[in-house]
This record gives sequence, structure tokens and C-alpha cells, in this order.
Amino acid sequence: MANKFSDQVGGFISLRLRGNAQEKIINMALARGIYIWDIKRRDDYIYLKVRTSGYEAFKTIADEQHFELDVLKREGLPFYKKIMKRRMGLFGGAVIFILALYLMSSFVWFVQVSGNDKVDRNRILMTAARYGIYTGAAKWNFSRIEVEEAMLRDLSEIAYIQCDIRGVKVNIRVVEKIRPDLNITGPCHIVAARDGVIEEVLVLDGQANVKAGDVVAKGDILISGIVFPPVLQETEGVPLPSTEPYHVRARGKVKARTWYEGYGECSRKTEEKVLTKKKFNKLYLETPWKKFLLKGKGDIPFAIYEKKEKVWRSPVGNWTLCLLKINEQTIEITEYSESEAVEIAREKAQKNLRQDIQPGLKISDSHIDILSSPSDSIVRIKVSAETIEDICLAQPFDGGEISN
Amino acid sequence: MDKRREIISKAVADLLEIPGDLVLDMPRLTITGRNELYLENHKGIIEYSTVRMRINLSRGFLEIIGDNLEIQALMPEEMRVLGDITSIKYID
Repeated sequence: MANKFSDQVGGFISLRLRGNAQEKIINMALARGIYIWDIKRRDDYIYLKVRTSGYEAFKTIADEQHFELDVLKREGLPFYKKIMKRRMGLFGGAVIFILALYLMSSFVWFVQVSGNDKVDRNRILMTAARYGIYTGAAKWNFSRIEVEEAMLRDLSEIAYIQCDIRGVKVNIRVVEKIRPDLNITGPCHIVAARDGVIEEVLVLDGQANVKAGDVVAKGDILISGIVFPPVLQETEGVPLPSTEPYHVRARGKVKARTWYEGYGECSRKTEEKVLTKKKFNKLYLETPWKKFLLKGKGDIPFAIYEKKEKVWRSPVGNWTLCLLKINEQTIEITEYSESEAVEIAREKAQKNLRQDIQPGLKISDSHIDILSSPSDSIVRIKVSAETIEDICLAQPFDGGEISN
Repeated sequence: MDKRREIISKAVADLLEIPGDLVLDMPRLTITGRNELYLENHKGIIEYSTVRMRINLSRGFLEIIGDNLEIQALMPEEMRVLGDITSIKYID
């Protein structure tokens, strides 16, 4: 027995037969090898189904025997083909849609970089672009593993690289090499990292150049790496040790009182541009031949406005879609009373100050100076802070240089 | 079919242990429940109505009595009958 699927592929016709001795016609069809099925009798009629290929032969038999033959229904793919022909646009559109989707998804649309800290993102992107991964690159033009290997070769600061291709998005994940701290092995001085007044000196190795209470400037030697041995009294029989100075790697801790300053100002009357909620968008499509305005006809209806441009470039050809976002602005005037202005300026000054001071440092004393006179339109404030911190900074020196 | 030839064929089939339906063109019926009948080696339909059906065989014919009988598939060698079958009878 033939299965239903092959019937569908070949197509079949439902028929209705009327006449005397219908068995005869069934037998005749059988003898000629016409496959018929679903034979049902309802009153005078016999309903049956025949394949499209056998229909003509069956019709000839029926006509010869003077039977009444009606076609009830045509089913199967060949008949659907007619419907498909009529709805060419729909099926064509579906095919074009799938093709376009496939074509578009075989390009790289987005490149992301993650995991980089010291290495510049643009450098990673440029290196990736050199080996084939850039916005608009066709996916069949590069091999992921080759790009990874080449990038790893080029970027010496990176220990591991992975290009994760997810659809149209490429995520470049990098792990940077952690280099061991550069240790000073040769002789060195300890110099002052900033100006201050020495509070405490602890020498582990080397010769102290300063004592508590001394004022030092940035760069002054605090603990010298050049050590002059003490001059000993000559005793009999024991030869004097060498009095030549020798070099060490100076170590120690020098705590000093240091000062930081922060400056801040605030105008009593400020004019500020503030966005209103009114917006106006213009959308352009730029082709190599002409520029089309798709949306937003007419001039910009605002006096003061902010313009933002968003541009999408097509990976192939020189097509760009450009969205011009125009937001209306108004000028807002804010006036501060003197105390308010002082407060704002002080906050700014303190913020400024905190940027200089290393986090975790304890401020032992601070005071605020108002630099401006009360009649000035701008309030200027200086905040000074006093801290005690370690100002040691190792500075290697050339072993040959001996000076005092 | 020639009587003598039939006897010889039967003897050969028995000797070689070949099923009769292959050598002797005998009908082979498969009945599933009482609703479905599968018949091989038929020789055409003599009569067909919803209650009675007669099928020609190489020798004699087969009478199927039942209700709502229909021929689900019909091919030169085989056929499938559906319906509520009440009796199947061989008639010479």
C-alpha cells in the first residue's frame, strides 16, 4: 500500500462515480494498474480517490463505459503549486527574507572588548582589525583561532585572548599579564616624595641625612645610599678598616608632616543650559549618490538647542544612516546667597583636595580660607589639610657618583 | 487452473516447504480485530455494496458480510477492506 506522503507529493483527485455495475469499472482500473483507494459507497454513488497520473486513464475507462464521473477535490503538492504561483510575492518574500537574514548574520556587526585594564581598548581593536575582526567583516574571511594566535603574538602585554563569536557579535576577552614589581637591586637613595617637615626617621640601611624637625623639599635625599664608615681611633696592632665610602640600598621609614591644598570657586550667579523635554529628530539615509531625508522635514524650531548625531555605517558600500537628535535647551539662571556659594565652593575645594591625597591617609588638621572679598561675584575658597605620611621614595643612583 | 497442474504444484510446494500463497496463487487473509481485512492474491471484485462484498479468487470467491464496508486500498494483487465485518465465507 502506498503511503499518504507519496500521495501528497504526487497529488490525488477525489472522484464520484455513478452508473450500473460499478464493480466492473473498478476491476478494469485494477487490470490496467491504476491505483485507487478509499472506495466508499453512498446510495447510488461510489466515491474513490485516484492519483493524478492515473486520472486520465480512469476517465477514459469511465467514458467508454458511459459512467458519470465528477471530480470532487484535487489535493496534493501539484495543486498547491498553483496556489503558490498565485502568491508568488509571499513565497518569494519569505525566501528573500531568509536569505537576507542569513547574509546579514554572516557579518560581524559589533566588536566588544572586555578584561583589559592597562592595555588600550583601541589598540586591541586595531590589532583585531588587522587580522580580520572588525565591524563589517565577513565571518568566512577569518578564522577565530588564527586571529587569537596572531593577536597574542602582537600584544605582548596579554597572556590570554579569546574571541567569542556569538551571532553577529564578537566579544574579545583578554587577560593581561601581571608583571612582577620592578625591584631595585643596585644601590639607591631614599628621597622625599614631597615637601614636608620631618617627624620621624627610622633607618634600616644607609645613612640618615635628616633628623626630626628638618624641612625638606621634594627630591631631597633623606637616607643616603652612600655610607661613610666612622673614623676609628687607631689602636696598636689592629689595622684601620677602610675609610672609603661604600654603597648600599638604603632602606627605612621617614614620616613627615605634609600639606595639601584644594581650591574651589562658585559664582554667585550662574547661567546654565538646561534641556527641555522638547525634541526634534531628523533621519537621513546617505547613499553614494544622494542624501535622502527620511524623517523630520523643515527647519529646527528651537532657538537654543543641543545636537547629537548617531551614525550607522553599512559594512559594504558607502551607505550611512544618520540620526540627528535635536533637543531644545533653555537658559536657567540660578542665584546663590553668600553662605550657599561658600558651601558649594568649599565642597568643590574639598573634592579637589581629596583627589590629591592618597586614600586611607589620615588628615590631622585642616582649615578653610576664603580668598575672595564678600562683594566679589565669585566666591573663592582654599582648603588646606595637614597629614603625616611616609614620604620615602627609592631612587637608584649611579654607583660611581660619590658626593656629599 | 488445470487440476493436474495444481496437484503437482501442491506436491512441489509441500516438498520444498514453500507457502501455498506464493506457488499456488492462493488467497492470504489477514484479519485485524473485526474491522480490518487484508487480502492478498485476489482476482477482482464481483460485487460491492456497504453490506455485502464478493471478491473473486483463483478458485471460487470470498463473500464478506458486514456493515459500512469500504475498500481502503485496491491494488492488482492486494486489497484492504474496512468496516464492521460479521462473516467471511468461501464459496465455490
